[in-house]
Amino acid sequence: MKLNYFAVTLTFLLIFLLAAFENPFDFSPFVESLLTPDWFAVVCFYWAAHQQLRVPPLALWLVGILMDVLMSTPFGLHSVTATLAILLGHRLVGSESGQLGLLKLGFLVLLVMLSGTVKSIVFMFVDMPVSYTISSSLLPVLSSALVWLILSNLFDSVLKPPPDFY
Amino acid sequence: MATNRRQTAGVSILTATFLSLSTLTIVVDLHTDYLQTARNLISYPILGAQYVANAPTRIVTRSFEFFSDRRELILRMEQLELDIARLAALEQRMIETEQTNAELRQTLGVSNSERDFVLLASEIVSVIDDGSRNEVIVNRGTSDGVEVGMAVLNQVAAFGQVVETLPSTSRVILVTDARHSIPTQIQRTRTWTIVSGTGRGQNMKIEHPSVTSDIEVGDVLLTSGLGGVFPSGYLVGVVIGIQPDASGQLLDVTVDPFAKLETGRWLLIVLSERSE
Repeated sequence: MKLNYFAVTLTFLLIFLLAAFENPFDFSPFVESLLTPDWFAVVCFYWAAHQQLRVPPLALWLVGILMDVLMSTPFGLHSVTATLAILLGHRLVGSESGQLGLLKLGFLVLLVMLSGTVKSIVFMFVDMPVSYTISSSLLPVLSSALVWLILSNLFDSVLKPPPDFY
Repeated sequence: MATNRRQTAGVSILTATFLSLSTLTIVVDLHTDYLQTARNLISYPILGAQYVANAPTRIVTRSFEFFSDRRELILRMEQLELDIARLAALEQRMIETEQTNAELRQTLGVSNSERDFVLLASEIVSVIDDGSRNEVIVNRGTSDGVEVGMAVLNQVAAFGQVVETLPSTSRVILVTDARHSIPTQIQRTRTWTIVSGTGRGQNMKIEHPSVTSDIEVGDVLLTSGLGGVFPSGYLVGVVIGIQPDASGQLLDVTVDPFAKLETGRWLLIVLSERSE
């Protein structure tokens, strides 16, 4: 399968800007959590699993490093998410042809939860208190799932893959 | 079948390699400074991305300011002039009080512990509030003389402390973060206490006050200046709740901090002591 590098770069640039965007209003922590999905996991999953493309793992790993600097997390934390997306993407190969399949949604939720767990483990190693409240752990998963439904459709329609793409 | 097995093996090796690489970088980054140079270099394009991402908000805000009503601007200017006059009068009173204080200290033979600090204005460019961390990124870094450990104030109170510096930005941990503690003094009783963040609901708590402690709801906490990080006399928070803990020996004292994220985008970094 041919890889559209321009489209891949464009989508990562988009989520990079979305992750860097600051809320100009005063929201409660609950609303704030709902509005901060795991953008990186969603897009990694889109390319690695939904499109089943062979995005160079090193490129995903490096984008993860950029996300680490943006989000002030230890180097490598987002790269774990990228690697997990590749792994889950491989598990999904040939399992489903639908665009909005429940299996894909389930795998994305699994990816976001795994990503959150890895983050919690790393934070525990640096004696950082880990919060397990609904707003801090469940809402980002929920918002990522919602964003997945919107973004995957949007990307599919905007990027318009050629008929022989799949 | 053989091809599928080879592919599966390939992906497993790839995954294992990148997971190991990621784990290694996490460990190296957490325990050493080897990756700091890389972080510094990457921070430049990241800052650019943050400016681009927040450009629409800035444009809208500036447009509102630009097209604001002339009458409203005049009123605002008059209010600011009044504020300046009021603050100038207060400053005069403060200078006199400081002078009297210094004279009294001299008379009593007590050394003058009051220190003057150089403050650097900075703006919040990003907020990190992910349930575990209460931090902000400000647009001043090592090139402006900012160092790890420096105190950060806002216009009303103690706000936080610098925990990481990059060439043009710094990461500031808020006083409400559960990893942060600050030496304080209760204004009413002049008792020294340690106040820590809880990371939950933006509240803080006084560390281990005994049931016999003279603390009341409404007590105001100020920075004590002990520890040499925060200048003394800045507001920290107000006591909003007191109840005995499970052991019955200590109190759970909840403090509402004065410094809140919504109080403004501008912060003051305490750079150093001003040389006389």
